[in-house]
Amino acid sequence: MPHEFSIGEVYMPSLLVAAALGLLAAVITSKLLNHYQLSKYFFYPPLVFMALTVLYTVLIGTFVIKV
Amino acid sequence: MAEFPSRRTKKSIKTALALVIAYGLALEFGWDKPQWAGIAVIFCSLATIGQSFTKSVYRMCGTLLAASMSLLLIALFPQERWLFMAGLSAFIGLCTYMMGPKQQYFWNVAGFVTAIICMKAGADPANAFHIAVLRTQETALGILVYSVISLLLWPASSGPAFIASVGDQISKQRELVIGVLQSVGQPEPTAQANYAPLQAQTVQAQAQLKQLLEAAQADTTKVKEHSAAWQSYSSLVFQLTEAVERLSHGFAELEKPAVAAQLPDLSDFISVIEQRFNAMEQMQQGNAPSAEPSQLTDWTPNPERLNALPHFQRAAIVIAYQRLATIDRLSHALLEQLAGITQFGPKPAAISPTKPPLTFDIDRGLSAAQVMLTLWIAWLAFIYIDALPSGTVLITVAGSVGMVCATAPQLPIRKLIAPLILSLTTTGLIYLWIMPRLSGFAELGALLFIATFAFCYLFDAPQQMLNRVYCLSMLVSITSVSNEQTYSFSLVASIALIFPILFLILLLTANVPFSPRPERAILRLLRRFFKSYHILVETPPPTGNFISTWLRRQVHNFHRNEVTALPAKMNAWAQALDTEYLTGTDKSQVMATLNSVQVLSDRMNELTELRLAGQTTEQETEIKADFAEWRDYSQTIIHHLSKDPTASDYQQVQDQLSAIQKNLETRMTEIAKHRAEHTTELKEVTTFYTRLGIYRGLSEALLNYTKQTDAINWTPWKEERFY
Repeated sequence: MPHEFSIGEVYMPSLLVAAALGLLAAVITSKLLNHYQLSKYFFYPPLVFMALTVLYTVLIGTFVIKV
Repeated sequence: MAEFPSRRTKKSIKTALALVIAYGLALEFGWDKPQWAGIAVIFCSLATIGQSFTKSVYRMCGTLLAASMSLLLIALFPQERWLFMAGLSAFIGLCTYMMGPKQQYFWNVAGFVTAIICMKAGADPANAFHIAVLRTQETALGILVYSVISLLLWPASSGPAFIASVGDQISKQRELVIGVLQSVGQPEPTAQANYAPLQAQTVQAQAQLKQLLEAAQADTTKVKEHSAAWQSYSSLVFQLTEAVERLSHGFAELEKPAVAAQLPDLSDFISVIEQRFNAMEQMQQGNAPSAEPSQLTDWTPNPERLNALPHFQRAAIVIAYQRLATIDRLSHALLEQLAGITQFGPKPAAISPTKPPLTFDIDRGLSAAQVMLTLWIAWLAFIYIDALPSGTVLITVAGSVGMVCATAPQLPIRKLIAPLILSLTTTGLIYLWIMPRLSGFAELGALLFIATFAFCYLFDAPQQMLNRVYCLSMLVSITSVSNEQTYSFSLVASIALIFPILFLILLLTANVPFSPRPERAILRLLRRFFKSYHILVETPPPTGNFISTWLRRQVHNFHRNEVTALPAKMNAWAQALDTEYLTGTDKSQVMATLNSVQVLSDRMNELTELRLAGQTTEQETEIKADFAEWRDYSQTIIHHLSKDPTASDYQQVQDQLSAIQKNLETRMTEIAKHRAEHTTELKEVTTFYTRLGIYRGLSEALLNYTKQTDAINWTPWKEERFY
């Protein structure tokens, strides 16, 4: 059943929270990939970044937040 | 003794007071959207009356154009949303393209205000005229209020600041000119170390002078009276710095002992130049020059001493003489202009600055395309996504922020996030926690005054500009003061949600059509530079006034503009370069490479000027085939560089060019023996060696570029990474 997040009595859709966390996780992953010089193996990193954001959002939404 | 109250306190008080008065008047008149008057105050409040006035004029004229354009678009496409958006995005794209070096703010205002009026009035065409007029009159009110405040409260004219900037420019330029002249004939690394920081300071000082001149013309009668003379002065200052740069770029050719020994004694030259700068300094301070600066006489190379040298070294000497003569002429003209302005000498004729021909600028075209794409994505999101926060506000914000980001592509989007969070938090708290407890305009005015003063005072430094602009803009947007004040958390939340959506759109469009990574941008611009360079070397400039040459002239002007403008663009990108991810690259190596590109650009301009002059000598005709071999080889290298600017082999290029130059030298010696060269007219010799010197300079510059690029590890530049 869909539920909402309440931060200081401000209600937010759970997908928004999952997307924000997904974006944060994608940023951290991309920084790590840059640091360990692994990003050179990707053909087009901007698309990889988008894909990572979507993947993390889905994973966090499904297993952590349970959208 | 420190000034009390300090400059930033005065400026902050003036802005805060003007904002409160503008709000008070707009509310008193019963006008809707008083925040528009507040916005005008925020953006027109600058350090001096002249600067504020100039910016206000641009803002007002831009608003008038935007109001007219909005009404035209609404009248043309009242029921056709796609055509309406096509017209609006095309106009905003045009405004973005026009945001060049001149009237940048006017076009910026014209673009984003059109988006604001169209989005406000588009959904309510019956009130379109009212909204357009309201925006115009509120902008006028804000400008008027700030102008009155800045005239009455601690009025600061641009005149003293401008005169001080002239003094600063004279002192910096003197140091540069003398530093470079003292380095002539010295080993290059020593010479470069001497003048590189001075050059940067001089460029900054002359840019400041140009900026303040525009402001001082608006608020200082004395400057306005001599407007044409000051314009000529400013133009000469730029020309002198360029001439000094050209001389400094030829140091490598002059450092050989045999060449250095043939150079004239520069101590007299330096002394005369120093006298001129001293006289200018005295005149700028309002004093008559203590001594009349002496003149240089007989400034031509000695033909006999010239003949004692090999041909290429003769060419270097001829070029050096010409460059020194240019510095002499320009410094004398500067002195004359300043003497005329300060009335310590006769008024010389004003020099009309040479206008570069109008050509298409690819980068500005790309910026325009990016803004249009940003607008279209925002528009499609507005139409197709239900319950988009704040509706059309996303489009107006996309227009204004998109225009700024597109014209400053070196600014990464992530840099906008911290100022946004700060501004949203502070103004959100003011709006939700403090404002509901207030009653009456006295309390509201006090709050607005304190908040505006605090933001202006705390974020006064130029590097804090983003914080200041964001905080003040959010203050007027989020508080949304009106006579019937309401408070809603959803307003803050909606505005807060617009920005992540906008940043995602901007991240997307920043990658279209090219990556915004600085290293990629530099490589792309280098390719463009060498492509244009190749075309310019290959094709001489078209001459004649026939219609058939018009198109060829346009193409030539376009490539010449590319070669002239690209080094500065690459420098701007180099400032944003993050060497953390570029293993084996030092920033100083990149700057040295870009400096060699600048030298190439200068050499190409010299060659084009020479080709346009169209002088050829008998000697040139005789060694045409040898010249062609040399040119062809240079062209081959440039052609390779236009494909891959990093692929060059310094040793190979050096060996090949040396061999060609050696052949050329032998051929010229043979021809000279044959024709008993000493009988040739000095003028003809000079023309020939000028051309030879420029070609040689071009080869040397190319060689220097390959040397610099050899030192850089280009592999990480070409690898993909997240940005």
